[in-house]
Amino acid sequence: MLSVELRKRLRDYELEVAFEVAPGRCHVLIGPTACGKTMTLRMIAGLERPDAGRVSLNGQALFDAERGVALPPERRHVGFVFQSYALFPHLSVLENVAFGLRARGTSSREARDRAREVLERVHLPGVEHVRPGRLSGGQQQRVAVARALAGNSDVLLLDEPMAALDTQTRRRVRDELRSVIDGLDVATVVVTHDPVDALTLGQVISVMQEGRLCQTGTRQELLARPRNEFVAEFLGLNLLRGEAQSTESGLTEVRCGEQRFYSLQPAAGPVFLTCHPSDITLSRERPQGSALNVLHGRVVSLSRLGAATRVALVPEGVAASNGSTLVAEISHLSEQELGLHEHDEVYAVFKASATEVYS
Amino acid sequence: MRVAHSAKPSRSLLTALAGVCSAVLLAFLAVPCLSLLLNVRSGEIWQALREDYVRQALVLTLRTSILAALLCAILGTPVAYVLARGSFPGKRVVDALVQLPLVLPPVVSGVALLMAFGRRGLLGAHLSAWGIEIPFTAAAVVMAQVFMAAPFFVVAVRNGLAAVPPTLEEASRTLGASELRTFARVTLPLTWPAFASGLVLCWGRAIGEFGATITFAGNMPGTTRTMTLAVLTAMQGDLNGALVLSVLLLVFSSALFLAAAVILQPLRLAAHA
Repeated sequence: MLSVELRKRLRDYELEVAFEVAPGRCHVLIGPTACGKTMTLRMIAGLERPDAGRVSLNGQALFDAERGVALPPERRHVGFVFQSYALFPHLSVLENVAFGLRARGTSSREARDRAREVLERVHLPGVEHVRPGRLSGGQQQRVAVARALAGNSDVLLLDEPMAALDTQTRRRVRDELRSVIDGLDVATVVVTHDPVDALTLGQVISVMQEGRLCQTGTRQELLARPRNEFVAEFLGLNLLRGEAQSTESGLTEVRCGEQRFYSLQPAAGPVFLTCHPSDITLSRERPQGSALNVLHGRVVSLSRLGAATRVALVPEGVAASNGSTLVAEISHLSEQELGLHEHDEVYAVFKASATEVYS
Repeated sequence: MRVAHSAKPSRSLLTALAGVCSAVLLAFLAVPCLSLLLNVRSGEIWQALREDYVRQALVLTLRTSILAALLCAILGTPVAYVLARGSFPGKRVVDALVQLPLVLPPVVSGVALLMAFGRRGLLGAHLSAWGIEIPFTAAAVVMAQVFMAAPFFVVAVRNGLAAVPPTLEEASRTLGASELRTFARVTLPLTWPAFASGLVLCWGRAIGEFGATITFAGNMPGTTRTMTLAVLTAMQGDLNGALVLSVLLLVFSSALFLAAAVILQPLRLAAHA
């Protein structure tokens, strides 16, 4: 069990985080640039010194401000995968992976055997004698992971593991990394600014903003119940603030300004209502279907993401304090059939059952 | 069309101009070296090498310059490391101070050393009380050489160290290597072309030191008369002797330079592979 509770005064804000990661679990810290997520990783590894708090691994203190414990990085057994991978350019792939074992006193032959094993585990046989500079970005990432794992670390820290990759290979490499991480029995912490990384890699996700963990939870919890707009926006979820009351028909009615939304979940008082962008359909004419939630609004932006288009619209009658835009994710084909452009007026529709309401 | 047409001749004109300038400079550098070589017969060199004052100067130069280069390496490496990696108030001042001897006229450096370590100097007065006299000794020769040559080493090594990403050192630490092991296994292998070239430049500068040496250490045969001072001394009576000594220095320095280039070339390639 990795247990982290740290404080550090940074230039623009105070970093203050606390979380625990069980062996075999992957915890993702996600947040915008300069929110303190990389600093958190570096403090766990001993590369930066916190002002206060403690870091412990299986009960043993790696850092404890009160007791004056601060182990240097080389005595922490914490594997670190740098954003740039930081592979040693003067050593072969095998020597890179064996480096940690050699540094900790393993004999040369044993270190090489063990390094070979680890390279196989990350599906990278046959490149042992190559210099890392000759490998592709995805392969370099796997060497970096193998190197960090070879020393039998109890913790694996990955700093923006996808940032050095181009968009074409990112998806494949992410899947590969996921399969490697899934097979590990160490506590893993991944730092990223990309929601897709977070949602695919993390069993537990913490959303960070200005040095704080806004919310920590499983993917499901965060997708369905983000605690504030920042979390919702960061994980790509619509989130509206409103006043809930139950109706005679057994539905919950949520008022956001002049607009009313309906949900199947019982709730009362001030609430959040969320709806996933892909649950929203758009049409030119007022729809006559069964869906209860119908909004009229104006398209403000269209952005393509693969085969889908994310359409942002400003709904009529929804108070501006609610973030004021609603995002619908429709297929590129539907977008063309509707002939959508900016400033067009459309109806947005979603079912009461597609919403989540909570306070 | 007109623009494209007029651009072409002007470019070739530039190339021609660059060619002429290069030729003039190369000739200017090569002709004196060549005329030095042409004015000395090899027999004269062997004869000169049998002369006591030549042998003394040669041995003194080698001993002092090697010692100076080693001192520069030992004292300069930490300075280069701090300048490349550290961030502290006054870093620019330290940087400027280290490089000052590059622009300071050597004679001025010699006078400055005399003012510091001379009998009535800032430190020299105290040393004198302890019975230690530095000026006009072989130690003064080494000090003058270190003063003038250290910047060459520090600047070369600092640039080499600055080119190594700090994350490589951090990666090494997280993998279980101590600071010392990290320096030996990561930093040094990646920067050692810079170390070697810094050392060669520094040694070469120490061999050629003249102005600060004659001011601070004097020109006494056997103790402070290095090769360059011997050339000056010979120039005053025996032009032939000066020629022979100059050729010796030229050959020695070129050999040093060539050896460094040969050793460094494959290393540079390896460092970038």
